[in-house]
Amino acid sequence: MAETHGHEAHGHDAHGHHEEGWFVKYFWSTDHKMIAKQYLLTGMLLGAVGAYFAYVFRMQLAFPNKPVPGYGLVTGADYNALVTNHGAIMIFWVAMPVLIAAFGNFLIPLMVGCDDMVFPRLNRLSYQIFLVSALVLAASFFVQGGAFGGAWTSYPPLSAKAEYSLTDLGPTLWLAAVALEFVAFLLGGINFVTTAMNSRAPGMKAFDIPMAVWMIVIASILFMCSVGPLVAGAVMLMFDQQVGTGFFDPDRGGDPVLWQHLFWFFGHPEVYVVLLPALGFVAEIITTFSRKRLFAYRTVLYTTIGTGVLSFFVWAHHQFIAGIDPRMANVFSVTTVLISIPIAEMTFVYIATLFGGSISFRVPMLWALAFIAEFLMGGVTGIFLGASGADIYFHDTYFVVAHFHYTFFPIAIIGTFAGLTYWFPKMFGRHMNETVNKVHFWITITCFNGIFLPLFVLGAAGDHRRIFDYGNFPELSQPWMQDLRVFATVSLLIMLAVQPLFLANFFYSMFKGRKAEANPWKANTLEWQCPSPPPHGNFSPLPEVYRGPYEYSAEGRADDFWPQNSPT
Amino acid sequence: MIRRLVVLAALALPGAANACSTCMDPREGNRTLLWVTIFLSLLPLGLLASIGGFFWYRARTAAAVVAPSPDLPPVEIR
Amino acid sequence: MADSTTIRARPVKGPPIIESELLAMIIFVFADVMFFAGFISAYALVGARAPIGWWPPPGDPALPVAAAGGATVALLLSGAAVFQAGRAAKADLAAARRPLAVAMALAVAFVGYQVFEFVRLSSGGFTLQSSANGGFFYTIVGAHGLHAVSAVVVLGWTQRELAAGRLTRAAFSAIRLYWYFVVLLWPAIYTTVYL
Repeated sequence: MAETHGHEAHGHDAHGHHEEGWFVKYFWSTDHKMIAKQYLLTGMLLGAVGAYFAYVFRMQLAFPNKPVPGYGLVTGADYNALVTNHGAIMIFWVAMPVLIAAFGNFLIPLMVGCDDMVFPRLNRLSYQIFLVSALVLAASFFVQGGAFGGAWTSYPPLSAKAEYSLTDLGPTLWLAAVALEFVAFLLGGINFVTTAMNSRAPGMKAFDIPMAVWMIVIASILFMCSVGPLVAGAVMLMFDQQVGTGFFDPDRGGDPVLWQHLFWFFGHPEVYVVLLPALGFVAEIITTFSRKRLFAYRTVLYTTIGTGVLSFFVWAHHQFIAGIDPRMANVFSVTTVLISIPIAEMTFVYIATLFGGSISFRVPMLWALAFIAEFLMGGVTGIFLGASGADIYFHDTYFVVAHFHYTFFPIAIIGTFAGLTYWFPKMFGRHMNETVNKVHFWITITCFNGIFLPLFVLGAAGDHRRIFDYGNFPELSQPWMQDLRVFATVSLLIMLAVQPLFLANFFYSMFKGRKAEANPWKANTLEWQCPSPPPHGNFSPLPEVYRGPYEYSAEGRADDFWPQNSPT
Repeated sequence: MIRRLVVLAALALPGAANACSTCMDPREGNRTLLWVTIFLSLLPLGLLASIGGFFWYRARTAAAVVAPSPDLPPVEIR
Repeated sequence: MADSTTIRARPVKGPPIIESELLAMIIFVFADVMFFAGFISAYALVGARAPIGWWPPPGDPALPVAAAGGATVALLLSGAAVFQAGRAAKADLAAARRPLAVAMALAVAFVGYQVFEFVRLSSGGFTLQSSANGGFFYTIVGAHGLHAVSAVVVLGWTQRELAAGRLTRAAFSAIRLYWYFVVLLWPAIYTTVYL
């Protein structure tokens, strides 16, 4: 019923075989692959903006009060705005659109074996709202007083009153952009869940769904569960800024810590919202390149669900020093440390998958292995911060910054590179140059550790993360500390310098690369069983599924892979 | 040694550690934050469970409708 | 996983367990419930933190409990009418039109009462800015009111589609779910904000 309705609904615009105009094809398309590419390119563009911000404020930290090439002199307000928007952009406008929206849109219909999303026009609307949100964010840089600089967590009273944030419209535009972005992902997530539930190819049972699809679906559900209170808080904060209400103003009966609860009720599940898709990509990649079945598929699935459930019980670990009841802090310490169990379990499952496999170190595999290694570092350092006693010391130091970059960089950057290099042949029908990508991989990974390992040391030495010029803090501007800052900044410069290598490879290969066959990696999942790049409607005929997604090296078969749709 | 004894004494008397001037509940015995925390944490799980229950109910009734006619030829979907 | 390697029979695709339209609405309502849960939790917390005797703040007027209770009854009746529409539609979709019209009239009455109450209270000096209590009252009740207005628009659209014979059963069940959400949310708001 829904199926036929869906076909009727988009039969007119998406699957009519008339030739589309340039504008309709690239900007008004309801095709899930085109929307995925729109999300991907927008996310990459904003990623470049976020990286530029990081470059500017790292330069200020390493060489304080010297004009930064390509920016100029960084003032305190500039620094705050850059740091704030670096965080916001990298999480809301890079990690979410690329990992969930771009890959979710591209992969879910292909992996479950259908022709498009259930609600294609809702999907198009989702991208359009996302684009508007990015434009609103960009607009916040050009208002009186400049962009919002109250950190990406936007705590009141700093964010609630123009006399503190020194900009009247900046915080409001920033909040409006975030809220619009959430609406976009609400629409997108509705599509992901309904498509994965109702449009699966005949024969695809719950345990035949590739892990990447499961992870994106569970991440979408987590997002839906957690985003509501933050939107409520955003409405209240916007009223505080522009209407003059007193929700977060203690003078008038409000409560500033309330915002922290509402924000982190969303903010912590959000970490898992972006983590899970990356874990899903890694599962696809390591099974393909070690030619082995995923170790304990059901365990991974149940573990993922367990992570999702637990992620609702940890948020107050962000407020250990905000003045919550210490007895409550104890509870949240325990739940926070508990959540490392499912994540550690997943790491072990991936290592067990690799064990005894015939591993080939292609570029996606390198990224996937790097993900496991680097994310492990992020997870282990998180235990210190989860313990409420240690956190009182580490709170707001560079230790925290290093910790969450060791989680978010693997998720947002390594996960994206793993997914991009793995699915590039399917997306664009061509291969990327592998040697260039390997050079890019090794330099990026080395420099990433070069940036953030020194920050652990600095943070443990008490380096506070919200200081713009250390000249006023003699105990924090000792020569050895400044040397570490310079080391981190130089690592960042080298890392940024090699990214054009990848981009050049990406865009060159998109048009001029070696043509890719349908299944270049000899993988099982359905997206590799249609032409590269997939045409309108993806499959002809639509596939039927006979087995799980990871049947590699099955005994008694000539091939070491066994596509899901092959009857024998 | 004396420091250790003080620490041990503090561990034996956890009530003394509650003298936190910025705690959410200035009035001892007010448990609203605790209840709100529990409510907000459990609500998504309750909603998910109810959706799961609805799903299970639908799947069961659908199976009951389909089951009596296993001999019908399967509808081919191309 | 021995079963995964055995050769399976030719698969058959059955109907979806939950129709896509209904599933999409379930997810949306889910997110929306969390949105209001955020508001209600915030309201409860701020109220609990106020010094004893200061919540609601002494200057704020008493909320019209009885009149709003009448509006509550109207809203619940309109939910019952939509339920009746769902039952009538089992035999014939067009039979849902009459109960839906009743539901829409009751919903309009509810929204009209809210507008009247907002105007009356704010002209008495109780505004968004007057206290945190006032801010919460207008924000929570207003957010619910906007949902009710959108639901009225959706009911009107449903009438048109039913008249034209275009409405699918899945879309109809999604619309009913949305209306149940708006109706059943209100008692929760009424008991926390008014009582």
